[in-house]
Amino acid sequence: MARSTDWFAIIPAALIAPAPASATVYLSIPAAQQAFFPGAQMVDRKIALSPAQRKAIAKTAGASGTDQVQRIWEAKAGGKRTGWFILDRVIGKHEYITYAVALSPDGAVRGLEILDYRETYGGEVRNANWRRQFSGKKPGQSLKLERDIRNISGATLSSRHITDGVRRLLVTYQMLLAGS
Amino acid sequence: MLTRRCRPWLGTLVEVEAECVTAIEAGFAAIERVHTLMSAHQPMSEISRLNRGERVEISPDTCAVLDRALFWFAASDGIFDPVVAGRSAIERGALPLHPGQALPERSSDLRLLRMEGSMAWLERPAYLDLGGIAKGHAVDAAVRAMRMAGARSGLVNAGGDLAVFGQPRGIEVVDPSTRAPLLHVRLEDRALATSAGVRNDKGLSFVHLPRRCSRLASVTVESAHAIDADALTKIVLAGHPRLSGLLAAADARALAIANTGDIFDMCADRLAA
Repeated sequence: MARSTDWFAIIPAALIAPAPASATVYLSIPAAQQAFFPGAQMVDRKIALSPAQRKAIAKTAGASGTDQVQRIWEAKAGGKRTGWFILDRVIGKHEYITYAVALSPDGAVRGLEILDYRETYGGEVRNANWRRQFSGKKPGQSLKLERDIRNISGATLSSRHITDGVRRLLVTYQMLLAGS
Repeated sequence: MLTRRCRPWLGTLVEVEAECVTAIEAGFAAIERVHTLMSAHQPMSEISRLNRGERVEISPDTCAVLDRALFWFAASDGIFDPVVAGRSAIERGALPLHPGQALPERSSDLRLLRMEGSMAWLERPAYLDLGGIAKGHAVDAAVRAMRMAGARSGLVNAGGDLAVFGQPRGIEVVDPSTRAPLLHVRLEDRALATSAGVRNDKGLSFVHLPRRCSRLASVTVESAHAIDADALTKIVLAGHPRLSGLLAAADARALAIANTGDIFDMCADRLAA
């Protein structure tokens, strides 16, 4: 195989880092509702949770993080309930994920979609070695971090927070929606 | 117009992009299938059944991954070893020991795996963890399913193991410490995998990469197939002495980010001694 040193376009992605965050939006709330319940009427059924209810949910689910208001929609078609759409978010150390879970009328998970994903980088975005290594080289296109980062290969993000979140939502369903 | 969806699978966040939702659903269906067959977290997966000492009639997917794991185990002189990885994961509590599953023997390695036709089994107590190769296979399987569903262009990214087809795409390889983008890679009909330290309160942790060469913080491999790119990242991280030959065997190339922040083209074996 021919030895090559330029097979990757080795471009310093951002010599001076702007706002240390990136965001990806996959679906809006209405688009996610439409994807799960095509043509259905979505009736807002958000629930304000008391501190005692939030504590009870966290205890049963083994996962805290319930918001004061749980955003829930009832999907209806022809006057009949076709399911539930629950909007939730999980907050990790560095990432903020909004996701939605679709439940069947009897509370079984029909699907999950991540709506948007935002993460902050660690404090040290750029170190001096990097700047030295690339000084005098063509900087390449600089990235507008809030917008342009679409495809990332790097340290794997765990989906554990989402797994915990879904467990918490199913407990919320059992406590507040089942039988309603 | 490309559409992109993201769902939690394979213990990470999986992104699938294509022109139509039908192809995206086909991609996710393949990811879910591989997850269900090979997750060591799921007690009824084919891998967990093997780990309980059962003789298992394995699916074509599991067969393909075990075959390739055996290939890289032999080619890397045992550096790539899902049984050693499994033992390490059990010892640090990263994977569960399901009911009926024996503790792996201390000296167990992938030579305990037997395959005859579609049957597979482990000869003595051992713990297979395909975490170092199955994500790559899932990505390849998703790409195949999306093409079958009629997609002309697409992307699958399973937490850094990714493949693109059709329209070329730019990929950012991030600094494992900060997750800030460091390198820009243009990818066309190829796969890319990155293995790196995971940041925590104390800095970067490498416990999930038991054979890492201590000078490297992150390794990125480009290859025709994600399954090979995925496996090769672990072999490069371990610092195999004949890396160039192994990379050539998979028409692969590797790039490493050292702890110092320097970038190395690993095809030249500069850090591999």
